[in-house]
Amino acid sequence: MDLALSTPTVATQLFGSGLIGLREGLEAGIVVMILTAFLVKSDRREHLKWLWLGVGAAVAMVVVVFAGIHYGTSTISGLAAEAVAGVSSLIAAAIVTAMVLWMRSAATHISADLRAELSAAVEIGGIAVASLAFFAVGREGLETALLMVGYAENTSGSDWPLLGLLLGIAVAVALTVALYLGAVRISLVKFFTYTGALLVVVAAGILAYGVRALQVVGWLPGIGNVAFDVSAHYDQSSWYGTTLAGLFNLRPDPTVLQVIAWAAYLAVVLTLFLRPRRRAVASSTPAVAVDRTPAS
Amino acid sequence: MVLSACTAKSSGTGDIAVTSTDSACELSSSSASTGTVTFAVANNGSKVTEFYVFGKHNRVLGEVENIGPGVTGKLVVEITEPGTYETACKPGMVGNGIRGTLEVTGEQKSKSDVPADVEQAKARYLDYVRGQLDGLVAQTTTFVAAVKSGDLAAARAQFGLTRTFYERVEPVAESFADLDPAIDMRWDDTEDGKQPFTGFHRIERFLWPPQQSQVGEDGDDISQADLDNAKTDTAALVNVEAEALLGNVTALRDEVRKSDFAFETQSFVKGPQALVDEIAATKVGGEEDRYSRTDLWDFAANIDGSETLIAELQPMITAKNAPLMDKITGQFQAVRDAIGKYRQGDGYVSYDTVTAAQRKELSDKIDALSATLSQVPDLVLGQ
Ligand SMILES: [Cu+2]
Repeated sequence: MDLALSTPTVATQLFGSGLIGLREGLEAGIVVMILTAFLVKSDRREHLKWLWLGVGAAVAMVVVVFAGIHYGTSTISGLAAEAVAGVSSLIAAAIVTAMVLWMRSAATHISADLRAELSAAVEIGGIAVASLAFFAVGREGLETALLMVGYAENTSGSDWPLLGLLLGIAVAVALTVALYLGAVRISLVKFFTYTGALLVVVAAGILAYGVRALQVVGWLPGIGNVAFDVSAHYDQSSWYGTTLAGLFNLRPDPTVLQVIAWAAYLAVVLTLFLRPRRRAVASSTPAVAVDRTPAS
Repeated sequence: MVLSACTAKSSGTGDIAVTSTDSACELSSSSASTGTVTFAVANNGSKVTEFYVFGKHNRVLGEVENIGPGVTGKLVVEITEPGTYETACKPGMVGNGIRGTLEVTGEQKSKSDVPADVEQAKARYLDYVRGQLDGLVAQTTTFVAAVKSGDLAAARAQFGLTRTFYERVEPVAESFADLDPAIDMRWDDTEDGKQPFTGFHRIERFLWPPQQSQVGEDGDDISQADLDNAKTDTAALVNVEAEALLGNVTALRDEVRKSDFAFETQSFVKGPQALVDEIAATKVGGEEDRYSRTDLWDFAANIDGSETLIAELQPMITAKNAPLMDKITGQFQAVRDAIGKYRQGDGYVSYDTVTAAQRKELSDKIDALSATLSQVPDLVLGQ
C-alpha cells in the first residue's frame, strides 16, 4: 500500500525508461548496422541510398502514426500493434534469410579474391535492401508510436521518463555505431562469415519475437504454454537483459512454440550458411583457377 | 476480431486506475460494466511493467506494454459479455504476472467490430443529419420570428415545413433523452398538464386553437383537459415557448456537430425501420399533429429520412441480398405513391380529410415496408 503511493525516484524513472529506449533502439539498429557494414565492405555503397530510403520510410510511418494518435481522436489497440509487429517480424526474418544466403555466395567469391566479380555474384536489388530496412526498423513501428504517445501524454506529469527514453535511444545508437566500426575493421572473409552468422542469430530472434506476438494476438496457439521460465535468475529488465532482448530478442520465459521456431530456424539456416562449399574457403588454389578450368 | 484496431480514445471519466509496483497490482475498482472499459496504468515500481486483460482460456483481450517507472499507460478494451475477467500487471515484463479479477456486469453488447463500410456509411449519414439540423435551425428561426411578431398566418404556413427537418432525422434526435421530448412532446406526455407542455406541439395548439367539437376519446381527438389547458394559452406564454424551442433545436444541432458525437451503430442500422414504424405505430392515426392536421408532412419526412438511411446502406444490402434491396426499393415507391396522392400545392391536404379506409391503405403499405426493413440490421452487420 505504501509502495503504491510513493512515486519512483528520478534515477529509477530515467533508468527504467532508458532501458526501453535502449532495447527498441537496438532492435531497430542491429539489422541496419549489419546491412550497412555489408554494403560498405562489399563496395556497394551505391545501395546505401536504398537502405536509408527504407529506414526513412519506416521512421516516417512511425511519425505519421504518432501524430495521428496524438492529435486525433482515435488510437490503435495494443493488440493490433502486436499483430502488425508479428507479421512484419516474420517478413523481416524471411528477407534476412534470403540476404544471408546471398552473403554466403558473396563469401565464396571473395575468398577467391575476386572482388571484381562481386557485383555480378551478389545481385541484391535495391528494392530488397530498402524493404528489409523498412521492415527491420518498422516492424515495431506501431508499438513504437504507441510507446511515444504514452510518454508524450504521460498523465503522471513527470518529464524524467521521456528524457530517460531518449537517453536510452542515444545509447543504442552509440552502441550500434561502435559495433559497426568494429565490424568494418575485421578482415573481409571473417566479416562475411561472422556477420552472416550473427545475422542468422538475429533473424532467429526476430522470428521468435514474431511468433510470440501472434500468439498474444491469438492467431497462433499456445501463449500459455511456456517452455521454461528462468526469470528468477535472469532479469529481463536489467541492463544485460535489455541488451540481449534488443540484439537477439532473448527472453527468460519463452513459449514452447517460440523455442521450437527459434531452434529449428537456427538449425536449418545456420547449417545452410556454414555448410562446406564446393570450393573450400581455405584452399590455397585460387578458386578462380578452378572456375576457369575448362571441363576435360 | 482484432481489426477493431482503431478505437476511440477514452474520455477519462470512469477510468479504472491501476497501480503497478514491483510486487503489487491494485485496481481502483474490481467491477465494470460491459462496453468500453478504460484502464489508466500507473507504474510506481522500479521495473518496466505491462498490463493485460484476459478473457476465457487466457485469451488476451487487451494489453499495454512498455510502461516505464513513473509513466502512466492507457488501455482501452471492448468487453462485450458480462462475466469474470482476469487482469495482470507484469513488472519486469515476464511470467504470469500479478493476477487479479474484474467482474463485468451489464447487458451483452453486440460486437463492436462493425464492418468498416457500415462505419463509413454512418459517417456519411451523420453529415446528412448535420445538414438537416442546420436547416432545422434556420427554418425554426423564421418560424419563431413569425410567431413572436404575431404573424400567425405565416407561422401556420411554415409549421409543416419546419417540422420536416426534425422528422427526417428522428433516430438521431431521439438519442437525446432530454432534448427530444422538450422539442417534440405531445399533450399525452404531460400527464394531463402536470408536466409543462413545451415544443412544437405547444405552439401548434396556439396556432390552431382546439374547439369543443374536437373533444373525444380517439387517438387524434382532443382531451377535455387539453382543451381546458389550451384556454390559458396567451401570446406572451407561447412566445416564451417559441424562444425555448429555438434554443433547444440549436442545442441539438450543436451537440450533433461536435466531433465526438457518438451515434450508436445499432440505432443507425435499425433507423430505417424505426422511422417507418414511427408512422405506423404512433402517427397514422393522426395523433401527432392533431391541432394542425399537418400529419402528412411528418409522414413524408419520416420516409425521406428512412430512404436516406437505406441509400447509405444500399451497397451492403445489394452485395448480400440483391432481391431484398429490389423489394425495399419497390415498397418505398408504393408508400411514396400512397402519400403522394394527398399532395396539394407545396404541401399536403389536411389529414382530417383522409378517411379511415384511406388511412388503413396507407398503414398497410407502411407495415409491409417495415417487415422488409426489419431484415436490414442483421444483414449489414453480418450477424
Ligand atoms: Cu519492442
